[in-house]
Amino acid sequence: MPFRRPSPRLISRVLTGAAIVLALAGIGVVAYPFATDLWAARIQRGLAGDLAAKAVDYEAGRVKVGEPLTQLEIPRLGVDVVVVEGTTLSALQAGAGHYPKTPLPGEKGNVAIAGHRTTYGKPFNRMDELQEGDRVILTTPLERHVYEIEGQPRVVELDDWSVINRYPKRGSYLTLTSCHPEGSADYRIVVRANLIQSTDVVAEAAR
Amino acid sequence: MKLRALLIAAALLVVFAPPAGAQRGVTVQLDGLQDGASVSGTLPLSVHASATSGIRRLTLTVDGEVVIDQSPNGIKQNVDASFDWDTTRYVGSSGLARNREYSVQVRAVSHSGGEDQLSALAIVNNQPAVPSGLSTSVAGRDVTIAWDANPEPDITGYRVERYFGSDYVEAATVTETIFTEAPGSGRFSYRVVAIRHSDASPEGIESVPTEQLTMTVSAPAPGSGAGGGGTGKSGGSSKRGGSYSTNGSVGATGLPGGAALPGSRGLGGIPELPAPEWGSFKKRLPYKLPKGGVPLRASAVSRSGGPLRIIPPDGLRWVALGLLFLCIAGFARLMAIRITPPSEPAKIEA
Repeated sequence: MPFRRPSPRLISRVLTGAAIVLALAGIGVVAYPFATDLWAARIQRGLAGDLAAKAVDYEAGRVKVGEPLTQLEIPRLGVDVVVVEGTTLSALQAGAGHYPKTPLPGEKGNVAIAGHRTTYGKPFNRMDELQEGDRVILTTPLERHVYEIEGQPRVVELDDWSVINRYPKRGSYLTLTSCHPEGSADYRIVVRANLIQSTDVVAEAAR
Repeated sequence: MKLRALLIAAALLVVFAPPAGAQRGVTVQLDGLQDGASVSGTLPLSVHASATSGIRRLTLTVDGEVVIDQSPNGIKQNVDASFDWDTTRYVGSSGLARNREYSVQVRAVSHSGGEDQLSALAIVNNQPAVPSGLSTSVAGRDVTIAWDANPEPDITGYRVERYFGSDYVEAATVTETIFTEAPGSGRFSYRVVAIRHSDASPEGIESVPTEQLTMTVSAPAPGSGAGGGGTGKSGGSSKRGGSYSTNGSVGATGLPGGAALPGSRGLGGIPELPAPEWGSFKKRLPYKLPKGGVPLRASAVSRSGGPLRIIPPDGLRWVALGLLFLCIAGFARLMAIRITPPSEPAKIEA
């Protein structure tokens, strides 16, 4: 069967269709980070209101994956985000999530929190700028815990879970984790903080 | 009327009657231990007994073993005695005691036959001794740490800790006295903590950590064999900055950026890992990072010494990719316009 050259009109239509698809994809790609930021901001607005009402569930250890667990503030970097329970993809759409198998804020052991470095509000975007002595504040429905960064951020392999294990048990620690380098998931960046102060939010509010 | 008075008197007698022992004038007192207290080390216990008719016998027992047994000569209304209880050892034995609950009981009997007794519970919570005889060896990529078993009868395990950041993290908790792992390449410091069973703290009570042992595991260069081996022992010959160091780990050759560490000796010094260059677009490094990672500041600096930020800020990358898509789309549309044959103009009827 002899090859019939497609008509110029058909080629033109195909190219126009491809142009429309590419244009839509381009708009989508440009809008993606902003859209995720807006989405995370929308989730955060809802979580901020829910956090205070979660005191009973928090005390009973019944906070489910995706529900607000604690507010995280890093004053020097201007970070203020509500951390949800869990580190699943859907839970992390809120921006930051608590590793479920690690202790709750203020408890003995190592509290571990993962956060997005890009997209979804990117709360840990400037994590590499954290310095020794910087404060990280976790405010749960019951207590307010102030941690102080110790050492400098470290870069670890993705499968190196020793950084969030529970030991040493003698103290109360916080480990923040995120992706590294920025925009890549080749490595993980981690930073450790020490609990230096805990105050009872409920008692303070009652005074 | 008389009957009523008798009943009231009997009731008052029952209500205000002193306890059996005291009724006969015997009282005992135990100082130095509160009931249910967690104790450790040597506990000075003192007992006191008093009776109007005089104390015939005063005893103090710890877990059933009599440690004080006094029968004063003559009539002594007050008797004092003391006992320094070494809680680390079984009473009456030189063997090391377990951490558990022990019953302490004081009993006094008076000459008139009255007696009084008092019991208290002591929860012995002694810290285990620091593990001794710590030694390390490196064979290829495997690091082995060994130590002597602690003498306490209720050691539940040993925690091997590896240095991370500015603190130590658990590498493993083992019940044996040897531990092997392949932590990757680099310099590692380890120490060991003994954990003892304890009723007072369910997680166990921990010893003071051993001194750290530092060693270097060398990564074999691509295409070369495994690294060499070496051994070290706590208290060895190379002590730097208060920590003992093993110097036997050698064998990797051809590592870029390798540099001998100060104080290294043996087969040509210890090669260090090259500093990772995070800024390159080939982000994965040609080797695996050691467990616990590497400090960011030490590695993520540019050759000029400033912070490395080649990767564009968040969002800009997405915008660039999106604009590329839009450009291709525009080009495709232009091509489509060029290819489209011009349509014939409509005929205008006069």
